Amino acid sequence: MNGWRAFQLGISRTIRYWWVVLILFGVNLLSALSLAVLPAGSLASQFGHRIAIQAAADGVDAWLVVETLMSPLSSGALGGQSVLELANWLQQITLLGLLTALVLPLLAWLPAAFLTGGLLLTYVEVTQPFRWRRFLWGCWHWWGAFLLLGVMQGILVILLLLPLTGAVVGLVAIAGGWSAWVGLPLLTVVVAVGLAWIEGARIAAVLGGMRNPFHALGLALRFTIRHLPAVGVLYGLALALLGLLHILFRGLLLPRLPLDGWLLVLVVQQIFILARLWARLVRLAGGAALYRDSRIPRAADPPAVVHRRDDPRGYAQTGQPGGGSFAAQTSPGQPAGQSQGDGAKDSVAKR
Amino acid sequence: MSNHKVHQGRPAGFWAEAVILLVFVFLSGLACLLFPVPAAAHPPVQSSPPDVASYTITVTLDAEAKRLTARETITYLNTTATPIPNLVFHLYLNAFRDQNSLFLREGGPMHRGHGWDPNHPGWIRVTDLRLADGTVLTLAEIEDGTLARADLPVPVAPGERVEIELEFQAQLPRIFARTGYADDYFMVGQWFPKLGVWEDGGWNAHPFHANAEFYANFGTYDVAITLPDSYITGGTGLPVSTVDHDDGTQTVRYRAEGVIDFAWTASTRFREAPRIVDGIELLYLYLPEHEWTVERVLDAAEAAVTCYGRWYGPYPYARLTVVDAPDDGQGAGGMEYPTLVTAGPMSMLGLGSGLIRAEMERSLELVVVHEVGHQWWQSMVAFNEAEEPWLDEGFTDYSTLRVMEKVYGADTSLLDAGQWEMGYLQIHRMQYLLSPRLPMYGPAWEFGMMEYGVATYSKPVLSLTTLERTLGEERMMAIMQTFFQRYQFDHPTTEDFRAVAEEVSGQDLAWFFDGLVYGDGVLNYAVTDVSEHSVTVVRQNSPNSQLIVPTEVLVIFADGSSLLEAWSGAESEMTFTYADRPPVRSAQVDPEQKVVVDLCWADNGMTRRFQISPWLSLVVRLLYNLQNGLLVMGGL
Repeated sequence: MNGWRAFQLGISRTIRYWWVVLILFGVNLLSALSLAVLPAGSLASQFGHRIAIQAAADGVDAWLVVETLMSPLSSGALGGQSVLELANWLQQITLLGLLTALVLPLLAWLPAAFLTGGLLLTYVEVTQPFRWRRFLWGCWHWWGAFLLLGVMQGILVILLLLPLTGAVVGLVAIAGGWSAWVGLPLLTVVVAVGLAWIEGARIAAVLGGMRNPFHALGLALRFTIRHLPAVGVLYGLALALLGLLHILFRGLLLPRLPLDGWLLVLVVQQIFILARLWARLVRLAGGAALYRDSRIPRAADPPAVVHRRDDPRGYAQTGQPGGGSFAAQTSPGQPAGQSQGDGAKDSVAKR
Repeated sequence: MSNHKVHQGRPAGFWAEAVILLVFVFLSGLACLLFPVPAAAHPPVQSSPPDVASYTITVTLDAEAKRLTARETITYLNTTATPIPNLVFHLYLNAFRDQNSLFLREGGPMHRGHGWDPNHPGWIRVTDLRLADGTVLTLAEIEDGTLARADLPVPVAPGERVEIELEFQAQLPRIFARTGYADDYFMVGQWFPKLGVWEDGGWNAHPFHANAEFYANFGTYDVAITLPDSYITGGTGLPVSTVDHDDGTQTVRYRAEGVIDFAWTASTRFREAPRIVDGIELLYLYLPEHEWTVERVLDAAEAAVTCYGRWYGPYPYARLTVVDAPDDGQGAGGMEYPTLVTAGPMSMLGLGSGLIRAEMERSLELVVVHEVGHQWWQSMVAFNEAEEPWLDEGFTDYSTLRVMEKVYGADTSLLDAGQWEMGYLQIHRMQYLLSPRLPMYGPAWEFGMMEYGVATYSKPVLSLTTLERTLGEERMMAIMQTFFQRYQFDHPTTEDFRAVAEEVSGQDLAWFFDGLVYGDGVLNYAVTDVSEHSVTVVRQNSPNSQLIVPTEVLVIFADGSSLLEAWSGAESEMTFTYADRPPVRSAQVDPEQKVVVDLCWADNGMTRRFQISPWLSLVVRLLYNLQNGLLVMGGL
């Protein structure tokens, strides 16, 4: 399968399993709401009657930023008088900000690690209708493995991506515009390759029924290297889709919205978040199709499974060895449809 | 000890790198033409500047050894009523001789982000000193060697001139604190033995402090520079002759009348970009790697010369030279000398030159407009920069801000990068808020590094802007123009400015001078209560000090009508009641943000009812940003 076909399948499968997108969106929205409650309440109590809140809502002016940054010093210069509400508010916001900085990664990481197993299982078992129990079983089954993968991903980001990003930003700041034409594409390629590897490891784990992240990473690395053109095209297209959405929403749509029309802004912003999530899922669904269709050596024998009515997974392991490749897993209980071509499965599903 | 004033100053330490928000700008005089100031149409210039201290110097540059060898003749006129019994010279380059100098002890080995190199120090030695009649004088170093004194056999009587001849050698340092060399680039400032200012029966001459700048009499400078003929030069005044020698050297002679100093520059790599503006030659000496700055620097210089000329008085010299600074010698950039200023693409925001090149950050233009401003507020109105530094830096940066705002817009005068905007005024507010409890008035050496930036740049800019917005632009420009005309080619003080300001405005400006210039008070206006038929405003000051600035309170009623109340600010709390009017909707003290020294504008306005719509707007934005953050961190 080539990358373009995988991309097409990614689009069709994310549309077919639209529930998955909605689940992710709901989790994202609820997580953000839980984080927004305290600052919003603080803003209401401290600034609900201040005219300055209108200035902030109209687009934050530099003077407001300056005063916010410097307000503890201003308050100190006045002998700590409390009328400078801004200073008090800033102290609260600083505490909330620190709290958020601690909680945000957890709120982002734990649900993402949890949901990935379920959604990938959905895309792998592509001929099956969406079933909540199956979805949740997938979430639970691979949660631990994906938490570990997330930790490794975080380490890679801290050790490699952040320094590289800093170097590129520094280069652009010092050397000027021309360096951006070199640095930013380089950064994009590194991000794309890193994403393809890490996300490939998750797909490989689900497809191979394994929970050892190191094996999954090894498989994904080999797969990425051997199928570089297809992976490259898939990730290029998927990232281009994401970029297009950013340009459309952030570059064209959002700046033109009236800042005081908060309801319209809210709707458009939420559509954008939904679209961002969808674009990511296109990448994952396309990747799942690519992996399923390709023959690569497995790090370990995958579980050969048969359906059993009382098994919450929908199938049970038999201990039979697999056929030496993802596409060769033909046991009755393995993730559904693996022995069929993706095009055939989709045509079945469409019918 | 003779009767010269030698101010040691306290060793404050670490004031080397002044928080010098060196200020800068750009742009076309066209914009100034679009925003003319009514009362300021080319006032007459004083016809003959005084000729008190004149210097004739022949100097040879050893380009390899980075060393100067020179002969100097000084003619000094005693314009006072007291005889002069001795001479006190500045030997500024000795500030870079070793780590024991006052300059390096106070400021440390860093200045504006550039370090002093102990392996390449600077120094100056007078090898011979005598009167014109051949009488040899003995020169004795004072303090750290940045001052030296020679007793005269016969005092110089009032109205008489004394002619002194001396020879000296000077070693230029690796560029540090505005002077020195970087490879084949030379910026030669504060380089020759220079007399202090004889006044009030003594020499006004201070050792070279880390934060202090200069003070000198007006005079004529005639300087002949001999150096390899591969060098292109620039200097104070105009080149009057160039003579090529057989040994591969050349002698370029400069002459400048009615100036207080002489600086020059040379590099084999200089390129020249001239432009004529109102009969004045703007000459930009730039380095090839900075060719992209040429039009922008010349535009900025043109805008500055045009605006200042209209506001204060015309530039009276034939040429204004702007000198580029190399990337490895940016310590030479951002300095003013008579008819010659230094610039360079230095990022004021510390973001590198990328944003400057992209014309998003305007530091390149800012530094040009600021340094050109010093031609009016220092080179022509020659304040004592050491004793009252707020005058020259404050007046110059206030003028810079005006040009910036008029040319670029108030919100984008420093940064204009899409959604990211910042006006130059906000940088000053930020710096002011770092340490607002400072008087502006005071000698340079009494301020710490951070304090110097606040007291001489930010607080004066904010205070003068507050004065302008309170009095009105037209009246403020009338004050500035009168002050400039009255004291051009003179040495006015803070009290001279006060007299002019109160005379022209017709007001007692004690709130400005006693409160802001001499006082350390801070101020916050706030609305603390808006009820149905009353509004309460408060004035807050720092403990044990009081600062009152007259202002206004805007009250808006439920039917849309409004009332602008004048409030002197004299009461610390004031309640306005409106029993016979519709219910109050909102109130705002200082609605036009005239009082820019107000510590906090955010609490200046209040509404009676909760503002649901803007609150929701902000919450929606917060939610969206959190969602995006979760998406990025989730890695889904």
